[in-house]
Amino acid sequence: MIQSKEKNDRDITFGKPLFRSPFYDFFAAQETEGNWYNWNGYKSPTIVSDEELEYFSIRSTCSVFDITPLNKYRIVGSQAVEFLNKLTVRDVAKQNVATVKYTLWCDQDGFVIDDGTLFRISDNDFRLCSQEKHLPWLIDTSHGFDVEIIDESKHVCGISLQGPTSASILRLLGVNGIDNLKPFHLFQTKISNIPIMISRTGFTGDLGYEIFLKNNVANKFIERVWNAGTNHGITAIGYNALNMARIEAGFIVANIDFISSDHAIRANRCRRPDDLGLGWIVDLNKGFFNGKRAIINSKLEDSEVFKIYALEIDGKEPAEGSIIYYNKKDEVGTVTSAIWSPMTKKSIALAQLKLGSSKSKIDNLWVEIYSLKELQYHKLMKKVSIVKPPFVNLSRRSACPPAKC
Amino acid sequence: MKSYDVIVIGAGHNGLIVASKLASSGRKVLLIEAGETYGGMARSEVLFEGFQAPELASNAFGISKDVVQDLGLSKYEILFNEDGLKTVGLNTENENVIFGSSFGKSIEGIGKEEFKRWKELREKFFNQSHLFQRLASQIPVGSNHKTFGSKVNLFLTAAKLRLQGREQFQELLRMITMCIADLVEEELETPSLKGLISFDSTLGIKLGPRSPTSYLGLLYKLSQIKASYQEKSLSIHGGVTSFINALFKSAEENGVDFVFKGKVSSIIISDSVATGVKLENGMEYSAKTIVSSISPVNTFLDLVGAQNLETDLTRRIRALRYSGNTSKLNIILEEIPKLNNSQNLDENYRYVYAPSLASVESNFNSLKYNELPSDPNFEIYFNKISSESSLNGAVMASICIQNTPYSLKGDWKNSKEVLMKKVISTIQKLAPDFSKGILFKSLLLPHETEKKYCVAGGHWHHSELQIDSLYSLRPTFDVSDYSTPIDGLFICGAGTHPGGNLFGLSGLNAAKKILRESIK
Repeated sequence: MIQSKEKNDRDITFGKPLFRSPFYDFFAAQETEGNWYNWNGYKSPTIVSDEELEYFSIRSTCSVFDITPLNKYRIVGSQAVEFLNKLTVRDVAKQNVATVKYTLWCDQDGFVIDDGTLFRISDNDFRLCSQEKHLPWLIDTSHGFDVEIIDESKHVCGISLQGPTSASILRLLGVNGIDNLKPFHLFQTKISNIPIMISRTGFTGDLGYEIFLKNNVANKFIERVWNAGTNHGITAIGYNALNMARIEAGFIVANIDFISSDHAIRANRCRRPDDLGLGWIVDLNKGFFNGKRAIINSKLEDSEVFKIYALEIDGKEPAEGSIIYYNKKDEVGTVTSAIWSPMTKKSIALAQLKLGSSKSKIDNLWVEIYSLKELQYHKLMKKVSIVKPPFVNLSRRSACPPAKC
Repeated sequence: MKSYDVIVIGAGHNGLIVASKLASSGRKVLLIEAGETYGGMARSEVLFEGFQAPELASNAFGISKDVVQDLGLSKYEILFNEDGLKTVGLNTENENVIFGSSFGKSIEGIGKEEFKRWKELREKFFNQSHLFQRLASQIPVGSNHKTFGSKVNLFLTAAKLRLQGREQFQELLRMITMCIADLVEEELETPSLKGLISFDSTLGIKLGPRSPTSYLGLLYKLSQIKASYQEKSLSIHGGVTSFINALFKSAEENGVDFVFKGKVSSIIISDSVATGVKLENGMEYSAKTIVSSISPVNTFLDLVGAQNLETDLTRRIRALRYSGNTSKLNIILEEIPKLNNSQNLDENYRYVYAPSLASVESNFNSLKYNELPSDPNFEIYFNKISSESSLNGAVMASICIQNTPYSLKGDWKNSKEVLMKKVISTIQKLAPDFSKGILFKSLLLPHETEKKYCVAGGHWHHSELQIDSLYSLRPTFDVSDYSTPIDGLFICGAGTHPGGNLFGLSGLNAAKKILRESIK
């Protein structure tokens, strides 16, 4: 009774009736901050109890993050590969069964609609996970293909276990084959008779796994994981901690680091894969796909466009939302994501910059940071250097088998 | 595999025009047609005891003078209506209104005052139709086509409209998106005259007289009359066939090769370049230029295939409104029937049954809900048969029934007979001996037209001729200049600008575009 009363109290702060993931009760029992946000219509924790501790659990023990709110589309049918080859920019025919690929898809102008991960479960069975909702686009694209698109977002839930001890926890749970699971590979197994799909993927740049399962077994499953992890520092985390880790890993997020062409109202906000630093994903040698012609044509033009860069900034102030200048006076772009990185001990950022084709501007970039200190802004002009992402490159991320710790 | 410079798909009038025009420039052209003969939806079919006539197209308001001149068709025999076509507005209650040629230059059966008001209104209509008339022979200015010449023409069209004077221009802006019902009710009183004008504004398009923009349907029709060859319509008696035959002869003389009974199953595409076509019987032909005169829906979704097209484009093509809404009833009678007032029905007239504006609107309401109209509106042409056979002296009545749903609530099994009966009983009221002399009757519904004539939805215009699908929005903005995202593939059917009846400018404009492209 007491528990349910608490829940009601909490809900008053929310105006919207939000969905609750099957793991909601688990996170609600842990959280102390009352800091929730609306992720894709789900009530999701921003912070569970302590942002820093949660971040360090990703880097030194094991974190548990609820990825249920992700959009999950099942793509099944004899022409699933052909369909995905039209939809996405990679050559799906080259993707092996039981692997996961990071991919993206474009509109007819070659502008990126969204990025996501594509799980090849079997020859003609795929799962596509994305940040934004795309069911109408997928269904319209599937016209003319023998393929069925199923939105399983509400029927399948997911948990992301990220951190150095994540493999050990899965070993304790009796997951055979975890030692042989290479990065971006997946397999299906059972934990205490609960069928799961496990893949060595994540959004942290660390050793980690994503696990998908049916909603009805979620509570039983998370209890097993939690109990197995008690001696391995397992910690429930919210979005803020994950966000720090993903910036360190140099991952971009749709509608934070770039505007999805689906959402953009202003035509010049749309970005092509090259502009996002993801040109290497695009396979121009495969057959027709959405946006191919526009992408090829854009390579011929020499127009000045905004591109995403990874930046290191002098000093220790995070530069969130700051403007970047050339020669301290000409605006060249804006920071889209920034933190002070605990791993590199530096202020790092992702930014959209328009630098033109000449490299001359690169050595003379500055960021204007307004740092609020006890009701007074300190206006700082800090030197910026462009680096190659990721900011943090951990060998354990790809070590196979993962270390026992 | 046989190789040509150009392959044209579909031997309708637009296909014939493109083929003839391109062949006359020295190109080796192959025209592939699914049916047994040329003519598309205007082709002749054997209807009854060896008697042949166009099953669908009984008459056309006009064929473009540009087409006649450009292809030199005047050297062939094309049967025009020398005196112009008069229309009788049939009425079961009041006196019939006789609408003079050239869309009511003179009218019998209305008062002097009423005629004075009509005259002014008619003049206004014709003035405003200038907008379409001028643009019809131009390749639409759009995202792909922005040549200086076409922009100048667009500007001159606007300027010319503006130069008609401030008042006239304001009047155009006021009227252009209005419904035809408001416009005729502002000025006219005679119910059957209002019914007749509403009928003509909305025939073949899915709008009622009270739907906004239905006035555009009339403007479009008038612009065709003005842009047609000497402002004449084709003769009721064999005019359509003579025009189609002239086009065929012209194509033949220019050296076009023909393949009949060859249904194209797909356009061969490699890396977004069209290289040939494949027929259902397995034959393949190759060419650098492929021109499709069939519906854009069939062209893109069936022949090119969604796997070769951007999702954005297939989305727009699938969103086209292309279900047909007009059916055709052909009846062969022993002799021409007499009207109530013992006057003979005249075979040189067009008869329209649309007794009032309310009747046309209520017909459209039924269509909206996929139901049969309770009192269908229709037009009739009588065509005397002169042949060697026993049919000599008989008469064919071509009846075009407005507002027939493509997908009927319920099924067509019994409804087809019901619809026929409704129309015949209406005629019966006006001409009591009509049904006695019926030798043969057949009704072609939109979904049957779709199958028989290989046109998606069975729509005469391939897709709706409405404000959101005209000029550079026809069929959609990114393929409005007759070219497509597939290199070497062009479209030229009625689904492209300007479309419409047997106008023929879609084909001619597309041919000009192709000639210009290949010079580059």
